[in-house]
Amino acid sequence: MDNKLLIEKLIDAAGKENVFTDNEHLIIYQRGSIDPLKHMPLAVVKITDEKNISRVIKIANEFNINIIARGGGSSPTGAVVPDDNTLIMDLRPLNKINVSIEDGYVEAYAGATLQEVNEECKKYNFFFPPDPSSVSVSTVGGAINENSGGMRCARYGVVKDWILKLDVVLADGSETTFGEAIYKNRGGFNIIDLIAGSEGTLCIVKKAWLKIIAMPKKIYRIAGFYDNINDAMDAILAIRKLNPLILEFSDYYGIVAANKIRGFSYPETRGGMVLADTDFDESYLEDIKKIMEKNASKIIIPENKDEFNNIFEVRRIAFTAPGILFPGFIDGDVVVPLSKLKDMINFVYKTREKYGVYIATCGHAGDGNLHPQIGGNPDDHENWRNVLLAMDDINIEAVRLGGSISGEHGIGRIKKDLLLKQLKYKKQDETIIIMKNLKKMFDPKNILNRGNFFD
Amino acid sequence: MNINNDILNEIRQAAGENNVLQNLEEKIPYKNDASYMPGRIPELVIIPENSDQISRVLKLCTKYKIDVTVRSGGTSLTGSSVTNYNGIIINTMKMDKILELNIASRYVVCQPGVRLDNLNEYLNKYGFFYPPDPASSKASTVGGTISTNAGGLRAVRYGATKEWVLGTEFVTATGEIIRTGEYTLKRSAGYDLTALIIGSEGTLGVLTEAILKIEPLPEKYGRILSFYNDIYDVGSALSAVKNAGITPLIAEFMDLKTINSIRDKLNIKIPDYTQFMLMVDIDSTEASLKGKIENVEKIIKNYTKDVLTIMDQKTMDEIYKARKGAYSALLNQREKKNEIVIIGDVIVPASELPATLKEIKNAVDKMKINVSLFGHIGDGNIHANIFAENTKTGLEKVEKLQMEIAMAAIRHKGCVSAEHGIGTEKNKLLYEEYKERNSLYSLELMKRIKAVFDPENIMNRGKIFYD
Ligand SMILES: Cc1cc2nc3c(=O)[nH]c(=O)nc-3n(C[C@H](O)[C@H](O)[C@H](O)COP(=O)(O)OP(=O)(O)OC[C@H]3O[C@@H](n4cnc5c(N)ncnc54)[C@H](O)[C@@H]3O)c2cc1C
Ligand SMILES: Cc1cc2nc3c(=O)[nH]c(=O)nc-3n(C[C@H](O)[C@H](O)[C@H](O)COP(=O)(O)OP(=O)(O)OC[C@H]3O[C@@H](n4cnc5c(N)ncnc54)[C@H](O)[C@@H]3O)c2cc1C
Repeated sequence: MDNKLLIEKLIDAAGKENVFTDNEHLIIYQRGSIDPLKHMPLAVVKITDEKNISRVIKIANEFNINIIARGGGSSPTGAVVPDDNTLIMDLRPLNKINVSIEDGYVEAYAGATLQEVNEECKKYNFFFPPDPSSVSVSTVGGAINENSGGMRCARYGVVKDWILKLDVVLADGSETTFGEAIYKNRGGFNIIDLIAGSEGTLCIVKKAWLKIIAMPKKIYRIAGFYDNINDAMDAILAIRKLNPLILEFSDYYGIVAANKIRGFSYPETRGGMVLADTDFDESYLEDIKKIMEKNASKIIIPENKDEFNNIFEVRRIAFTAPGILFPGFIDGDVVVPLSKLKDMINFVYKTREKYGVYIATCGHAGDGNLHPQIGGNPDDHENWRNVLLAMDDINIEAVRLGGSISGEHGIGRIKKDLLLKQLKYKKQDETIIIMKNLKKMFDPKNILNRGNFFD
Repeated sequence: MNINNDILNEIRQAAGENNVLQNLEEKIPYKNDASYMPGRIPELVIIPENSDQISRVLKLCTKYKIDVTVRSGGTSLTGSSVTNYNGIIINTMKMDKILELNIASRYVVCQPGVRLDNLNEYLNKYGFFYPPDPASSKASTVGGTISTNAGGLRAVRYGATKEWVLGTEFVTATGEIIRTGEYTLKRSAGYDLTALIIGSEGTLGVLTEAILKIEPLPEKYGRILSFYNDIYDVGSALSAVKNAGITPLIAEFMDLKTINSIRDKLNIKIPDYTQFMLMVDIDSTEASLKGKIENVEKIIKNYTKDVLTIMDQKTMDEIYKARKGAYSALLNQREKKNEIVIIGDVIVPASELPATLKEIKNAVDKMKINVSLFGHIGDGNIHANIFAENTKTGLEKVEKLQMEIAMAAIRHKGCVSAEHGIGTEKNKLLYEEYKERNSLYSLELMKRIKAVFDPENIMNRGKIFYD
């Protein structure tokens, strides 16, 4: 292939200052956030003008090159990792935001981060509820394409529940719109929800209209520390009934890691920590406290802003701790029906012992979503083999319990085989054929994130 | 294709002998749904008991290119549950069981023929409910409401049906029985086929099972009624409530004609000047309900002097029932015997609501047609109920008015259908909507997607897409 001609055309379309081919620039685009996969792209094009998306896609068609749309690049499943012949389309510069309070939506370009979106909404005392812990990097385009969840899922669901309308660019470079910026709309098939979670394989999202709501007046926060993990899980089920704003969990290893990394001194209880927020009124806080008092060995209700934030950090750090403490780290993202939470966490504990690996588990337990994060050393073959085996066992157990290998991080390139296993186990093999056919309808030449989530 | 005797025998075998209706008198009820759109008496009606039978029948229909329409409650307002061809109707009402309730995991598994009121009666016993609540809930079903992505009274708070379906069992037009989604509250594993099935109006295949998310009943709620002379104030009052960060459980409005049709059931004192009534439900914890209600009363009082709060459960239930019966009640307000009432269903963003309502009113006045308005105003959804003579000229007038209303909605950044779907009633309007927005490509893609599930285009041909 004539790369020189390709680059010339790209420069022509997107401007010299926006096309990168030198290693120094490309190197940060070779991987996502946590996954060990990496590969150099052919080139990176920064999208500074919305018209350039279509132009670049048309060129990619001409040269039959794979295009990976990239927002924050925080995908932990290899969804933004290039293959041999890949052009990265960096949408981060496209980040204009417009708020319409009366009509209850924010209009944001794909590259805006969720944090930027919320900073804009905050001016009016509104917010966009989905809240992945990666808000500072996660972009509108990325969060839609991963159908991200996050801390406030227990109450507000996932990103998909908040999308009203999308402007997209299709695989042949043509542009179209799905949905409307109103709260209910029947316009034929629900393509928006098909695009949500499609991991960059169906089209490029250019701009989104997202529902927003008024910020809660006051948030009450409470944490219970448990000696016994089963008691912690019981508490989660009981608190869930009170419709909390967030309902999170971090296990013993997560607490220990947070204390170590941030110099905290939170109780290192064997059964972990249950963290809940409620925004109704104080009586709800009291009700949650009563539930916790049954079995928790310590209850903390933050008294000032620092404590309020620090205790949240315990949960946040549990997620990335293995990455800080170990050279290698793989991300778990299982989800099970709530009634199976206890089985799932106990299985994780058994697996830890079986393989002798480090696992810190945290998660949006209120949704049945746990992140067993496994740390290890990829250069130590024996250890790394055990890390991978342990993760495999955990994923398969989640499926066996009626759950799924991914709650919110998607499949990407890391979980492709697992997805097939899951569908097979659930006798859903047929759906993969339908999915592949759908992909063909959108992207007949297979140039959008080729090889992501299935081959 | 014509169903000859050989094919008929194959279908009878596939469906089970006792599940096939062939006699004219048995088939006549399937000629219509709740809309005014003309249907045809189907060649055959099949009332299957399980998905295997459906799968076998659909395999034959795909093979012989026989048109198929699925039907459950038959309350469609857009002609989507009748056939326009020489085809068969599959009625899923025999599959009417609640299969599993899992309170801890917050889901219920149902067959398509379960009626929503029956489902909620069952769930209420456990302190839970299934939020989607179209006014037709007594007759409409899990299968039908999923296939139309029904909205309803509680959509302002809980959203439309699509937010409540976790997974399905579905038989594609080619007879493949697939399972989509999970029993979990979230998941991301490949394309969301469940989302595609919801709202597809029977054009992709037959839904045979659904995993539905359920919610605990709200702890406590009260109802605030307020009365207005000017439609402008209705919209403004509601906006003010919402801008204060309060999302009501329901927010319904109705005009005087609608009020009159249910006046005897409402049993409340309505001020003389009233042209419009707004009904807002506010929920809360026991402890703070009173304060919250007072707060909303105060906001609304900036727009009208008459505000009536009702906390008594029995009275609230009666009013709710009356509102749900408004459409049927309007039928009694017809002036002539051959008149029909056609429910419109457009939606605009909140900020465009007052202006749109004005334009609709102008169009109505200009055409001298009898129209009453009510709707789920909390989400900008207006139902214009058009009284028309069931004659050629009468229906032509309706069509013209519907088009005017639709264009007003489109001009104000709205849509031609908020919750009733497209069917055959609005397929042309949908086309106009996409054309107006320069996104006809989107419709084209949808057709291609249909072909993935239904290569021979046998499922509900002519619905949604205008040829
Ligand atoms: C520390 C940490 C914490 C996290 N916490 C959470 C959490 O709590 N909940 C959660 O759900 N996830 C979480 N994640 C995962 C990740 O941050 C989310 O999936 C995030 O929303 C991805 O956004 P992004 O902009 O980084 O997307 P990227 O990683 O850039 O892209 C993700 C996918 O979307 C596609 N894509 C991106 N932009 C577009 C576009 N405009 N059009 C089409 N396709 C596009 C890409 O091709 C890729 O397939 C976490 C990750 C990290 C590293
Ligand atoms: C008085 C009245 C009030 C109404 N109020 C509202 C309201 O407030 N909100 C609202 O949204 N709607 C309302 N509707 C419209 C109507 O009730 C809804 O569209 C409802 O969802 C239809 O459900 P059904 O079971 O009657 O379906 P049907 O009319 O039988 O079918 C509707 C569609 O679903 C398809 N379908 C049915 N069963 C299946 C299945 N098993 N598999 C695949 N496809 C299937 C059909 O092919 C058809 O396209 C109202 C209707 C009436 C008559």
